[in-house]
Amino acid sequence: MDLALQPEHFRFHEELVRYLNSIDCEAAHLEYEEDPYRIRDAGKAFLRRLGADGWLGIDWPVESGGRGESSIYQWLFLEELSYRGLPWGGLTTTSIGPVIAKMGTTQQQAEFLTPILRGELLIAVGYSEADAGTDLAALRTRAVPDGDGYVISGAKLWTTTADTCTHVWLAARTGSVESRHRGVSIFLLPIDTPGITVRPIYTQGGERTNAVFYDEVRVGGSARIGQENRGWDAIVMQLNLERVFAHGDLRRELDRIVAWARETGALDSDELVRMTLARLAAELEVARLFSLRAALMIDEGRIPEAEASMGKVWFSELKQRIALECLDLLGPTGQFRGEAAPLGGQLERLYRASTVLKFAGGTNELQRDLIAARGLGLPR
Amino acid sequence: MNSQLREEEQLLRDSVRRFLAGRCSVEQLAALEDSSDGYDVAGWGQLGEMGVVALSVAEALGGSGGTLRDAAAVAEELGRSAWPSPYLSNCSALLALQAVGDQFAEAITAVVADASVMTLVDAAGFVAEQRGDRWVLNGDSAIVPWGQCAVQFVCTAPGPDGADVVACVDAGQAGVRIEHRPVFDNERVALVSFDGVEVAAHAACLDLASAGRRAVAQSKVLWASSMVGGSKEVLEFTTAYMGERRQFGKTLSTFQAVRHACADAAMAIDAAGLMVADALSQIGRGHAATGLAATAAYLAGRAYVETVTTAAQLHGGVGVTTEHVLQQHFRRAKAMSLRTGAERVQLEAVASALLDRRQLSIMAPVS
Repeated sequence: MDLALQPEHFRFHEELVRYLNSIDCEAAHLEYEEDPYRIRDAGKAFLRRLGADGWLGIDWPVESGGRGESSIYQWLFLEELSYRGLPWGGLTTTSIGPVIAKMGTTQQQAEFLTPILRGELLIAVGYSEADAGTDLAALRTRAVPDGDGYVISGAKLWTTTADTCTHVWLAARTGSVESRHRGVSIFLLPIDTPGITVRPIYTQGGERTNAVFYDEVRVGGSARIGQENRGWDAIVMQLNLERVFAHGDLRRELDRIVAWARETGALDSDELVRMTLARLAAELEVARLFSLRAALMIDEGRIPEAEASMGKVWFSELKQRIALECLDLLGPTGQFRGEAAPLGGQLERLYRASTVLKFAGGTNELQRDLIAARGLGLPR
Repeated sequence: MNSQLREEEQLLRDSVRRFLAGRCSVEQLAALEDSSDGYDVAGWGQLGEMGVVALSVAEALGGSGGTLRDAAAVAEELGRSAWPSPYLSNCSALLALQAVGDQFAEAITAVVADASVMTLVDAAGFVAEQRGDRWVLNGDSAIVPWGQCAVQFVCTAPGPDGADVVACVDAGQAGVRIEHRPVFDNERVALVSFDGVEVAAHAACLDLASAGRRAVAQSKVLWASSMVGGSKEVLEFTTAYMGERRQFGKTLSTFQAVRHACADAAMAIDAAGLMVADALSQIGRGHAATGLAATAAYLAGRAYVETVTTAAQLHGGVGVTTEHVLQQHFRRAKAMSLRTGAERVQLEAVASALLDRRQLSIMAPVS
């Protein structure tokens, strides 16, 4: 595999860098630093700006309103935005929009796609429940047919961004409990639909997630995406589109730490600091290459499976290693928090936030099993 | 990479595999290890005739005019087979000489013509001083792979004003001392000392652009590729065995602990393999990319060691017997990574490339 980028990719990246340097991103960045998932006022304004200037949906087909570029361009976009600590629209633009483009009705496409590309629509994902985490097919939130629509009842957990989004992408049971993945449907509904209650769950990393309760929520039949009981197809398609990870966040963190080590002189004088940072920098380049490989595979018409799992495991575990090992480099002052802490508390925040990715988006245990099955062909 | 290039590389790999196929049984490897030369001298000559030894040497100098990527493909196949040979060290030496210019054309042509071994003395502690129209080299006990079978040494040593001197030294020259040192894998290593070795002007040159040093640094990607090859081979026969071996009425492949250990090895190998590919891509486009090459060497050593220790654990008793090829790889993994540069040395190379010259961009660090 030739991993070197082409001149047109560099031109695209330069154009993006020029663009981002030309607009005011500061407020959106500060908001992102505080909580990268919840896109609030500044982030929303920034996303609308990106949308208006044609930067959303880079790899969407032209007929859906996108630029029709390959995955490499979209990956470069994600990398640059995450490197700068700026919102890029998350799953709404990278995977949910494209699923609507493929599985939605003409009416649904007209209703949702353009607003997504304008940065006006933000979608939270409502999959997990108290008793349906990794085993998602055990979900119990029910959608009961009622006239030409449905009545939805149940409780979802870990619906991150439910308090800042406009819509929720909801997996609900339309078949029997025993039907497992064959009895699930997907709905897209406004988060302010009557009967929905959002309750905050605060996490150790300072990021907010939510429990969302659905109490006889009435939706029309047009809220269902794809066929009834075929929602699992949409889930699988959405997960398949979620296979190129941006490592820019980690690169920004490491750049700051390296800058700190250089300023304090530790980079040259303290061998433990130098060796540790060298190793982490090497591992960071691997994160870049796992992402690049996945994007290249998609552009060749292949679906990265084990390859994407490797990227996810590597990225999430590297994030925690950076936090743990760099805190150690600070010595006892590593325990300080807030402005008085070394690096303004960046590392202790990273530490507190470092564990979620290892289980979110498919636990790393599940990913390792997938690597063994799909990558190595180990019989179960 | 276009499909024609890919096809050519596949043909090259196939021919090397065919060559190695009848030469690397456990018994043959053991016999080579016990032999006085330590490598298959006749086989090496055949590799030379196949154009593989001087693969990346220009055609005008008698080589095959291949790329570093071609040499890396060969290195990977050699690594898979655990066949001991001076290939890597010979490549590093030839690449260093070729990089500094036309001056060494004759020396390269000669060594390529009779497939004799040239090896690299890559030792920071050596010094070169100019005396009249000659260079005098001094240095003690550099660890030199295959130093005992080399007819020539290529030495990169600090010279005047911080510039390197690249010199070609005949093994039989006055002042050259070569001592065999046993190592714990099936390759060979010697300690080489230069005690006032005099080199004529035509056999040495001042390398103001550090081209020799850069070529040596880039050649680490070949060492990395060889270790990736060894890792892949070991993981492949280990997963095959896990699918066969039964305990508690089921195959070992069904146990999650086993599956996850294999997945971790696969991840480490892919990480190293991707870094090798990235370094080769960037070097192929004319970038120095010595940082990526150093990173590849570091990751490949780590991956090889992780793979063999995992494989040894999963094989149990059968894997540690001298009748199993795993023990060859087990020894080679750690010894090769030490030979490529102990962890501290490798990480220092990574530090100087990725930290000191840190490029603040999401793009590959190519300097």
